Amino acid sequence: MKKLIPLISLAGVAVSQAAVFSSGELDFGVIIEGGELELEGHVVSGVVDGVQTDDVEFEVGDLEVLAGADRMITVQSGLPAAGVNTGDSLWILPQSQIVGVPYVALASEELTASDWSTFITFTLGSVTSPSGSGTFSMWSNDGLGNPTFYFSSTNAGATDDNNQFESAFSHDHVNWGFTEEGDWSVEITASGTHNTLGDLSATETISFTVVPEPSTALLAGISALGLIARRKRK
Amino acid sequence: MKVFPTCYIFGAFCLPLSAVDLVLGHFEYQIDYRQNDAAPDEGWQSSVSYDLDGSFADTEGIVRLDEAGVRLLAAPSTQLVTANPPAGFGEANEPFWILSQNNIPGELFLGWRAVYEQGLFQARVNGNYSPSPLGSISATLLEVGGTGAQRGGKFAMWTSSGFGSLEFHFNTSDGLDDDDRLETIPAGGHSHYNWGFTKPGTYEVTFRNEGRLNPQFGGGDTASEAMLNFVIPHDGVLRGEGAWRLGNGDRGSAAVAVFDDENQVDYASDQVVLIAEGGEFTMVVADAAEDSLGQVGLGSVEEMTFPGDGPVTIELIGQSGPGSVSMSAGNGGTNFEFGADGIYRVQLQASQGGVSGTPFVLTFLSNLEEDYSYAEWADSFERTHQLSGGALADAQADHDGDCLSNGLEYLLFWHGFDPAISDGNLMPKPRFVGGQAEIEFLRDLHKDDFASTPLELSAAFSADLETPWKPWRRLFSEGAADGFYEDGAELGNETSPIMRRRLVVPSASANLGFFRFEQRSRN
Repeated sequence: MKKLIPLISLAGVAVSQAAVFSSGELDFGVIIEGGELELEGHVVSGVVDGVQTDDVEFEVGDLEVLAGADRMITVQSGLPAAGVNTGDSLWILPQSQIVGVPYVALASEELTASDWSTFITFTLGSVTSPSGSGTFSMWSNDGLGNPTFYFSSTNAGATDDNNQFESAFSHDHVNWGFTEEGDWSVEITASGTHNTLGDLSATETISFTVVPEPSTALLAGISALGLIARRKRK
Repeated sequence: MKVFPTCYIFGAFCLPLSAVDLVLGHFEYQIDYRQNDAAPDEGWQSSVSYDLDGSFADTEGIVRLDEAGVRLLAAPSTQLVTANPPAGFGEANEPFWILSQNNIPGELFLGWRAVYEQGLFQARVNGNYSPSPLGSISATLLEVGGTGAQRGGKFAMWTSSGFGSLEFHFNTSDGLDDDDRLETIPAGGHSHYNWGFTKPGTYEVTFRNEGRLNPQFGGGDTASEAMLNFVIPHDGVLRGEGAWRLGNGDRGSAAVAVFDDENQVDYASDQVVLIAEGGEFTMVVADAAEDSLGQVGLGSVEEMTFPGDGPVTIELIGQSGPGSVSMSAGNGGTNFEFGADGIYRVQLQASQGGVSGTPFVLTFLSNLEEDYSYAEWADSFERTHQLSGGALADAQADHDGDCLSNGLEYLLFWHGFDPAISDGNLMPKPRFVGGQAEIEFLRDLHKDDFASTPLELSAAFSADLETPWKPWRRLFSEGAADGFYEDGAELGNETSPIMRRRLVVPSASANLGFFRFEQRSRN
């Protein structure tokens, strides 16, 4: 869950401790550390708190992914899995890279395939939406533009495998959909069976903020306060 | 993998000149640029890259292959037929092929990656350059050649995002113009695209990578060209009729080539399936003047002749299958009729005057499809040998006692295996090339598609035949810069679902002694 520090303010605005990822490539991926499965946020190349950042890992809880107002579309035809009807608004972080937009993937490629007897499964857990009734969804489009939904916080039955996404030791860029502005918390569990370590799992909550982009000054202020928590790669 | 001794040194990059076929896995078309004040255009380097730890999430462990030596193969599963192809690309109800922007098991997952220092280039947006602390480069499609293009095939690259909108970056369907450009590729940029093709064959896709340096670096334009080589497979199937070219097989040359005149491709007899629809198949003699654009499993077919004059006769000298086989002149050629449904191997020999050519085998399927299952294969061979029903049902069993499981004989069908005959001698043998051992074999992607078929063809090794057999890694290995353990070994320039492959045994390892092919069950 995103942490707020009310004692620290900039121009009277409550400042989030989480580092804001506003554009570039970000992988939420699993690694093995100390015999345990861990889910981390790896900024491959992007902007964190207004600063160009390359090849840096973050604790998932210390990241906040920004979906700006320019990511909103008006839906032309309803899709139950995304929780939208014709004419509804939907914010989408796309599965294709667009300059200035977060390009977010789920990844298991840093694991060694031969060490595992199963693929890695990402499972959607609890989702908190701004209003309490919004829908979070995740899907990919094939080459013809046909969507396959993997996650839907309000309609698991409309997904490919009941809110489970299988990753074959690769990384997969997908579309992330949100039906309303505000702060979202999305719980994801990664799991698999390791040949020697047995069944492993890791659960983290990813924070998304669907708002117009913060001002540059605010982002610079967060950076100056040194509130970015980075994870040291061991 | 053939690794030539020349190593191109590019700053910190070592770029071995290598030849390799890539048919699955995550690879990148990678563009690197290093600042070169004296010769800016020499700062470019293009390659096909992969990562030693399998992760493209960091810049460590990148292995760059010279793209000139890399062939990017589309697996047969990349073929689509739809009444609604992407607007402006492909034709309704006609096949086309997509290397997907999504990571699909058993298929090539080809990305586009740019590695250069931020701030070197100006940014380009809507055709206009401006100084930039970050900057970008562009890629323009210059030309698409190859046999696929000669057949009228089109190439396109696009993304599908959001709610299914397609954005084309390159598309030769409407010709080449300034719109065929990937305009803004940022430093550290990495994206995946759909790569589309509308005809089988080879595609030589040439790009110009370009950018304008920032004023503090001279402000000039710099560019370089690079070419990617794609190979889209033929079906490897002829239905009801085909043509053949007959030679005497002298000095190792082919005794027969099966010619598909519609697609202008010649096949080796062990890389094509002949489907006898209604139990009949007709072969006509290919017109010697008929050119083929592609060869699968063969070199040039121009010399496929007999040395003398006079008619060439064909004799049926052997057969194996669940029913009768008859051969007669008819339908303007040689007509084959099969007495029962199933798999037939027909051994033939061509002669001219007193000269007999090398015998050859054609494989026919009578009322059976090329992607027949293990159960259908077992049923055919049970009937061929009058075995009781179910005698070959267990893929793990070894019915003929030749130490090769039934399933393995199914997977290595094209080597001539018969599950009711002890024929272990047909197992492909290793040979030593350039200090390393290689085993060439025929992989039928209908039987093992690398992803979803029930049986999987793998390899295993043991140091001394006492140490338990361990699985050998598929294709390329993490942790080894030259770790392509299975590579292409195709003869000819084109491919079919029956691929000629090569298992490569690295030369320097104390733990490697004995190898064998294995079947595995895929969950």
